[in-house]
Amino acid sequence: MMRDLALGLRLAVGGGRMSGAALLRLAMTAFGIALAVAVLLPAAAVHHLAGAQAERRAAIAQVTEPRAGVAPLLAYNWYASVGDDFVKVTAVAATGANSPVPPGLNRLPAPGELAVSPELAAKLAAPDGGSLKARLPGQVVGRISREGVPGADDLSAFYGVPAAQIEAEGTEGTKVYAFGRPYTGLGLSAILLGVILPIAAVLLLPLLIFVTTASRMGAAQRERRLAALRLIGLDSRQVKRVAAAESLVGAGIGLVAGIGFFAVLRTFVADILPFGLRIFPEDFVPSWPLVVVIVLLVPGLAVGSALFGLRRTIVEPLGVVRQGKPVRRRMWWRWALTATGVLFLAATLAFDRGDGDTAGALALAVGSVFLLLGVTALLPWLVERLVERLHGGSPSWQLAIRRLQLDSGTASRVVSGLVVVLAGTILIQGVITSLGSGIDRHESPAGVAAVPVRVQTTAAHEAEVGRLATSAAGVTGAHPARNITFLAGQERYYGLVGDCVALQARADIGGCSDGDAFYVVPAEGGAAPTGRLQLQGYSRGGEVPGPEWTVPGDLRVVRAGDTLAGDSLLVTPGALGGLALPDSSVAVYVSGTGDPKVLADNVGRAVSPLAWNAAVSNSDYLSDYVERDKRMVASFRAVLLTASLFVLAVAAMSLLMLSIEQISERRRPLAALSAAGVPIGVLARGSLWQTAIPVVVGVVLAVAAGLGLTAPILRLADRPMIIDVPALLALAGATVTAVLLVTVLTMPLLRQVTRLDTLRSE
Amino acid sequence: MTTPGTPLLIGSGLHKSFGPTRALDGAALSVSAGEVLAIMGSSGSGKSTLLHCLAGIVRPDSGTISYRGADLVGMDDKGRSALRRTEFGFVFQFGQLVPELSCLENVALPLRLTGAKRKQAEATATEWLARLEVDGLAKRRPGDVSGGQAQRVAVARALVTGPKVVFADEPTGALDSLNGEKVMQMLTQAARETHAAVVLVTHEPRVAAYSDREIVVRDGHTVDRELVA
Repeated sequence: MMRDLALGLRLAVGGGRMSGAALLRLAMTAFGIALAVAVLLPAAAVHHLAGAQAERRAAIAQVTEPRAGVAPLLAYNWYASVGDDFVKVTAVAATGANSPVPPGLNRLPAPGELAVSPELAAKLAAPDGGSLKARLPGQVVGRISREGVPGADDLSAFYGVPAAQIEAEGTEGTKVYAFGRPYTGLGLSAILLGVILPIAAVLLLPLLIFVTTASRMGAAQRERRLAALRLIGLDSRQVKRVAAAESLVGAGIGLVAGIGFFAVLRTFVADILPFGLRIFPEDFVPSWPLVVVIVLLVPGLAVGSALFGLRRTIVEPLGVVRQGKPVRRRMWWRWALTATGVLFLAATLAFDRGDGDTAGALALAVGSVFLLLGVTALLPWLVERLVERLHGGSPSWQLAIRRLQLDSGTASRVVSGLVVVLAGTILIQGVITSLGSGIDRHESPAGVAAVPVRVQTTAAHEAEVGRLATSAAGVTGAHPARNITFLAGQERYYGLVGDCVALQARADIGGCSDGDAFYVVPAEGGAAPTGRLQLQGYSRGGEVPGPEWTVPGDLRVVRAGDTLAGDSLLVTPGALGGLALPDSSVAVYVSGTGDPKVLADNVGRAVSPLAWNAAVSNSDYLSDYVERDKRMVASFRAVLLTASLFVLAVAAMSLLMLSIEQISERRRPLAALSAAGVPIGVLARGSLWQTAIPVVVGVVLAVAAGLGLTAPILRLADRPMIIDVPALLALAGATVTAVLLVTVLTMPLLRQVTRLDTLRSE
Repeated sequence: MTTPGTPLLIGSGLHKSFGPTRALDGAALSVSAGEVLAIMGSSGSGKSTLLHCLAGIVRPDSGTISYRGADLVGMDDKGRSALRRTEFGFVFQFGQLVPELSCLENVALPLRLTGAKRKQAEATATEWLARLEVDGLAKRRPGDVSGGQAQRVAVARALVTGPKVVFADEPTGALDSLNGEKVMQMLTQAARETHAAVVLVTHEPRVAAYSDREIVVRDGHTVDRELVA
């Protein structure tokens, strides 16, 4: 057995005298395997990455159970934000010499000192880091090392304060006796099973087809060589072992190249991740057991592909290579898959529009998977049936059709990988586009322009925030508004009590004067409250009861469209008739002149001594979320498009190999046709149609399946169906380009085989 | 129509080298309309190169080739391709039929390339298949017929456009003697019926015997058979 394998290895490298086809086969097999390894290793690394992050998260977890002899560390957490950057700031103060120090720090920051995470340090050092700095208290004196943050994208800081400052917060502060909880391992996490594996599988499918196609290149030449081996006494099993060993060489080279590619990818992976994700490259390593599986699996894949290619070939000693009878395409399972998918999707019609029922979602998911697989399985049959019915046309068209009639299965298999990915992409793209269409619908109340900055504080600090804010450059006024809940039995109305300027920043209420009260009708509808309502505040983690208030008879009902924070009752102090408001959180709206961004930074710096008691943001903070959502949608589109183009490129390379193989096999007839005056353009166009027909059928099928699947999903989500025409055109354009490129790349070979020496027969 | 006996294709002073190898060294010949000319010679003597030059497949390094008064050497590739498509026919040793097309479609292909409608082209092709006694193979693909049958289909394809000259390069080289003779008989008979000249490259005297005249290529020169003792 080893002797057969050794012989196969020697034949694969041909003692340095490899034919063009053999060299191409080796190169393409190696390339396909390298890509497969380059997909599998990152997939394995993601699991390790998640594990490393979970392990560090466990290591920095706060232990609040008292420990004897340990002077606890006092801690208070809050978030400072600019746009959609949220910084978790932990105020810390030691209560004794042995108070625990958080992982990642050499010492606790002294009062007024700030230690920041690597990502936060980078953002502060960036040209636009000034706004973030303005929201943070204290002076940056050091960095938290990697051990102290779960991931590279972690925005966090430790801020030193006097112990009394945290003690003043009562139960809101935390006593930390140690850091670190036992790490029990990630196991087979939901991330791995639910996200990574399907993506890897979808990307691997076209690669598997690619490797299979590559392993069949130069098949005729290889079969002649195998026949020669049969002649000298090797039996059919030995011959298969030789063929398997030949493919091992390509697999070995591919494995090494794939590992090399992954090593290079690791060095800059932190810079190329979508969705603004950041990771430590050190975490992005596959775990050893998975590496061993990949190293064993991938050569197995190559050998399996080679043997799969030989499954209908009987190598006989007299140089005769006989093809076994083609297996009749079994249809029942292809239709069964498709029908199951359609049935599940049809079942979703039983659910009402917008019904987010789990059963409906499950039917949709199962139906989508079955339909995608079914469509892929049907493609070879569909292409076969289609080309069977095609007749006539120009000579080049006839050449292509007849060639596909002889064997469309190989090309269809190549394209089927493309179909499932394209259909999936169109599906996800359609859902994202339709769901994302609502993002732009948010419109800020007109009053926001007058008070562009908002400071969130407590009733206790309301006056001080007002004083500090109005001392900042450019500020012309401060308008506090208290968050109040109005209770009518079990019914709750969230609202705000403040002057007209503050209320107009919350909703478009029109004209306003002190003494007015407004009921803003929610989007889903609702009735204005009447009678007596109980006022309630919210402070230091608890509800604070207030006095009762009678809803005035002249309560104005407004339909203001979108409101910030979903308030429904907006009340001016004059409408409360002098009632004392309960303690609650307060939003101080700040008016001013000049650039709102600069104004916010000025206010941020002015109120920073209050630390967590004064959080500065834009009054129109929802716009920041809209921007973030838009960026997420754009990132999603880019990732999907990249994945689709990758799969398209792999399919195009498979088709290229197929074309090269077919041209090589038809060397003599093509040369004879050329000698007889047939223009090379006719032959090239034949090659073009031959590539284009399965691809076009595949893309049409993918678009139909993709759009067909998008409709029921959006129906259940009760969203309008919006077809992402630019994305579809981009995919169509890329497909046409790929087909043209494949044809152009086969031209040199076509020119070569139609040269004189091909005709020489002596 | 070209009168039998009139020189149709004349080559003189033909030189062609492939790297250091001199394939033709002053070769010359002429073929008259309706004449069957055999070019003989040992392996590597340059006879196939001479055929390729005369057919306009390759351009000689020097010398002249005149086809019905037109200079073939000075003609561009497009012009030579058109000439090969419309005026010449070709039969090679083996593997010249397009494997995925049926025998009928293979024969009809040259007519389609000259602009004939499919039905018309296939009707003419059917006649030629019948003439060469292979009309029963019309729907079969080349891979499903014997070597002799495939060569007769190739002859039909070479003659279907009514060429003035048929170039045949070892047309029986891959056939047994019986099938070889049958193919030669049909090729020469059909060519004579249509007054087409045949330039036949062979190293088999038995095949050359079907010709009206023989010339021998030796070291790139052409010599009349009568002069070779």
